[in-house]
Amino acid sequence: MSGIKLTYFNLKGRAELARLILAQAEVQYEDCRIERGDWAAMKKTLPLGQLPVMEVEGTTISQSMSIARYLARRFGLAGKNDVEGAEADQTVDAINDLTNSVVPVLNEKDEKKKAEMKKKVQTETMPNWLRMMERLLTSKGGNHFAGNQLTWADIAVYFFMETFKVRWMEHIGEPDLDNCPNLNKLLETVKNLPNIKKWEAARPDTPM
Amino acid sequence: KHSQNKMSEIKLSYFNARGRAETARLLLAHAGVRYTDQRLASEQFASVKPRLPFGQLPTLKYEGELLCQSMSLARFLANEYGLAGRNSIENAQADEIVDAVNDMIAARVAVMQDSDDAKKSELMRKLLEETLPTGLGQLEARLVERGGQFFVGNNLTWADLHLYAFVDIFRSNNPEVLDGFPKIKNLTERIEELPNISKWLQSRPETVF
Repeated sequence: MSGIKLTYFNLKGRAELARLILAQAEVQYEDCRIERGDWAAMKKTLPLGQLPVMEVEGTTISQSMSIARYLARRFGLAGKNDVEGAEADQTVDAINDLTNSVVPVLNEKDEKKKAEMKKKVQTETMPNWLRMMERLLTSKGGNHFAGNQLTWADIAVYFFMETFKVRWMEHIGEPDLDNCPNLNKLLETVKNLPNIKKWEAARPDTPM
Repeated sequence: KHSQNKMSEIKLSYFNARGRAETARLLLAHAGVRYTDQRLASEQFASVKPRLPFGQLPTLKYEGELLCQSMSLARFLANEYGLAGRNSIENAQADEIVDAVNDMIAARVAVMQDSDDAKKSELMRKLLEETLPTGLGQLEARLVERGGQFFVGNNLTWADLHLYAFVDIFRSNNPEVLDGFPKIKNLTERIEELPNISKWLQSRPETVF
């Protein structure tokens, strides 16, 4: 056993990237999922008042991306050197930039404004982002975002696209990947990794 | 890891602002590294933007590689110059602090970007009275838990410098932001006294943010 304990709600959410990395790396760990009722009491004990947290080597780490990066580095999914590590990091940061710009849209209360914002995501934001990511991937050789090998960046892009499709389908339909052949191929590759498939079949079924 | 760097091999490009580049600049200053501190005017940016991998600044040209995304390139520099902690756990602890600071920065950016003025003042109030005090309180507790001197491993890391960069910008408009957080305040004062940092703070261009 790795001695790693990951704690989150019984959701994919902000813990799933870490879980996918652990699955791909075939690491045994404690996948702790708390009940909603236990949250209030637990929150007070947490360093940054948030989940997920990871307990490892006698300490607790918060912040989903820091946790994911630690796991990627420890289990060989962060490239072979610092430059490749940074190339993986920049890809993940680009996903977070997009997430930060589209999440507020669904939370917008003004219906008219919301409709305009959704249209912008559909016709500009998402297509531009996909085009940019395809160009980046192509510039790195077309197969992977960093180090010409599987890294957590590839897994992160895959997970983001899966989540985006589910959440945004009813609002703007499926993102158009027709002009993103390399990205499309990478998403298929990650989806079909044996360890990823095994995890997705075995993990608890949760709404998000 | 690196002792000799030809200035031309390292180029940090951003606007003439502290913003999302200052953490990297603080790192380079502390490490005593010679680099080109490129500051683009808006028109220059407009012309290079289509060719940038993410259409954004900052970027870091480092020995032939172009790295993007402010936090990724800062982390890279921290790793190169021994300011990322001494092992994987310390790397992750530094990342965690940086992420927590970035949550506060994002909250602030959201307020600044809201175009609805009535909503904006309420959001600002919430930021100053709730979000920031909570976030700074958690960071203060983390700092105390680690011995009170530095956020990670009882040694300077980029986590300390990133917190400093955030405070540096925020207190221009809100000088009282660290009231009630004595350990963090003390850390920022000690950072300012580090010789290479002090030299940088005195010589850097003065900018609004």
